[in-house]
Amino acid sequence: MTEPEKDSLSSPSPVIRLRGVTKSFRNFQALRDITVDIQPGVTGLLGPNGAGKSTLIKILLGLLKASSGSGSVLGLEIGAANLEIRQKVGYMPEDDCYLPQLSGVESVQFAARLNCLPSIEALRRAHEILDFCGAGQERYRTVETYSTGMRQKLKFAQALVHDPPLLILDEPTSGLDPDERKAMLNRIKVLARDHQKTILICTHILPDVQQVSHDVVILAAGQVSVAKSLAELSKPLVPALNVRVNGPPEVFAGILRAEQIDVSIGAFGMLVVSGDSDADVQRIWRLAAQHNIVLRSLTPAKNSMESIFLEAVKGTQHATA
Amino acid sequence: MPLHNVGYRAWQGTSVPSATRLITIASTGVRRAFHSRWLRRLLFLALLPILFFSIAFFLFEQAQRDPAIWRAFRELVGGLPNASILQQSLGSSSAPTSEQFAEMRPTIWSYLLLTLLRYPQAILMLLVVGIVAPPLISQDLRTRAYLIYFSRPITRTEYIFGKLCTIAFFVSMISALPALLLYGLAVMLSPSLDVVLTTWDLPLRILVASVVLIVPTALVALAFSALTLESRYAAFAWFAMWIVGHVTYSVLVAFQTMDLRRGSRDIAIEQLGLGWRMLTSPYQVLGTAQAFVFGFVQDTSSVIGAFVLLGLASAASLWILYRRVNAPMSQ
Repeated sequence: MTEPEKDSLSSPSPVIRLRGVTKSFRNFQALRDITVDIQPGVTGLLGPNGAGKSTLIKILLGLLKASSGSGSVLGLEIGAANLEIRQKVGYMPEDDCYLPQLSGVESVQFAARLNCLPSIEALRRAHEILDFCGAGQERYRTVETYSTGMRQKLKFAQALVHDPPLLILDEPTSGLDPDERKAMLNRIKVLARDHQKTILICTHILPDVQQVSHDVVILAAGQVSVAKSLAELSKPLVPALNVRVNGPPEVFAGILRAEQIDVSIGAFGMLVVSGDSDADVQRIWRLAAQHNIVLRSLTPAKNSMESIFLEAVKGTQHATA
Repeated sequence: MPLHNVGYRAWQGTSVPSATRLITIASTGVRRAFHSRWLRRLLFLALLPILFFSIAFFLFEQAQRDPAIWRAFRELVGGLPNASILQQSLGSSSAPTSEQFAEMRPTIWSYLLLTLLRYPQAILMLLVVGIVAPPLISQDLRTRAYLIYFSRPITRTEYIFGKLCTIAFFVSMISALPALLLYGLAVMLSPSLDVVLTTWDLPLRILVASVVLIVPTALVALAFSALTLESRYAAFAWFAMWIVGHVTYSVLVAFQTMDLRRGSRDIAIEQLGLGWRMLTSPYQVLGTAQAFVFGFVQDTSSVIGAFVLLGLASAASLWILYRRVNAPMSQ
């Protein structure tokens, strides 16, 4: 780790626990000294291409052996209990993967049977999970005929069918239309909130992470750059309020400056006012009322996921340079 | 949409033993393979030779009653390949006595069962494996279905042997099953169930001969499948191996017979052990091994050569399979 945020390392019972995990492929080091804990709930695993996310997932599933370091998943030691880990993990790969000539429901039944569900029960469970995933009669078609969205649902159902306590979802919303994307994120929320699943989402779609994740781990150049709760990461360094007004923002900016309030005009006429206490909020309301200014929105300023991500990646690049 | 969507519910059933995963892989492979119309036709075709051989068994068992049937049986069997090994049994033109029948029965039955396995069923096996095996692993590599398998508690051994069992099922359907059916039919056609006492070893020989056929052929076919993403290349390699091997063997045998100034190309089973020449043809190697299982090959060196070659081919195929199945995960 270069300068990773370490607040998540001290929690009592992490679902995933990695200590100094390194993975090298001949001369190339894919992962360097990864030390991180993943807590119950939804965690976003982010990183640019080649950051080592897929390698990390393969190590978690015991498909790749770490060059050094140790770790556990659900209390099971990686390397020593790989089959037990895979029994308890539902993995949704990013890659399009399917068994030709099988229908959707047969594919999910097959996945369930590989996880040792009895044959008939696997079929019943496959239908139940496909219902949950919003698959209709298309479940009886062969998977080769499926659209991208339907294949995503199928992979999700296959990952979930054996009711694993930990789900690793690689790009779960990739290729989905806006409605389907929203539905998929809702399912993820329901599973985490109502069924206490731990979910690790590996994605490039940053708003998805912002919408469903509690914690964020950012990998860059094979290292953990950030491992923190989203709430903490979203807090700006200097507390501020974002204000939108009807009419030209310069007028209200002038009024605030006259009151010795530090203000700047951001993108799209957004006023960024320093301070986020209740008193600061009341003062802005009062000044707007006094000068007949209509406030369209007044929200605490947050770091965007993009800025958090870019900052983390840039930080690691500087550190490794 | 479902009539009654219950949402997500935890699963609280009882799991089945982990050994069932292998059966799951094999049975799914069988179900997928049955989608091929050509395969279904071939499996139907594989039952037809039983009709011919059941006539042979019928004639043999009825020959005790009527010398005309004995002559018909001799004519029928005389037209089969390698019938010269039965010269001693079929030499007499008059119908043998019942004691002589009892004495020759195990040899005649063995010969008929071996001929069934060695000729029609072996050629059908070649075609069936050529349809079933090539997509088994190559398709998984192309469609990345290996992720479905290996993100679950599946070991490489379970995966490979699950696929092997898929091929074994189809090869058994066209080799062991027809041969066992024929044996059962022969027992029913015989004058007494006492014949089981003298032929009890034949079902075991059928099973062993089927294993000798299944293990190396299935492993080699799977290895071809694992070496490519395109199943047609694997199918091409499979058929090429048999055709090139057989042509090479035929050419070598033709040269030898020319040298010996023999006109006949009919090589008796006991003459199959043509030293190193036999090793050039997978078909002859398997035939020698199967003939040994049925007790017809006396030439020990050719039998050892055949089994060593089959063992080496199986070991090399297994090595390729383990490496190739692991490869996508290591990237």
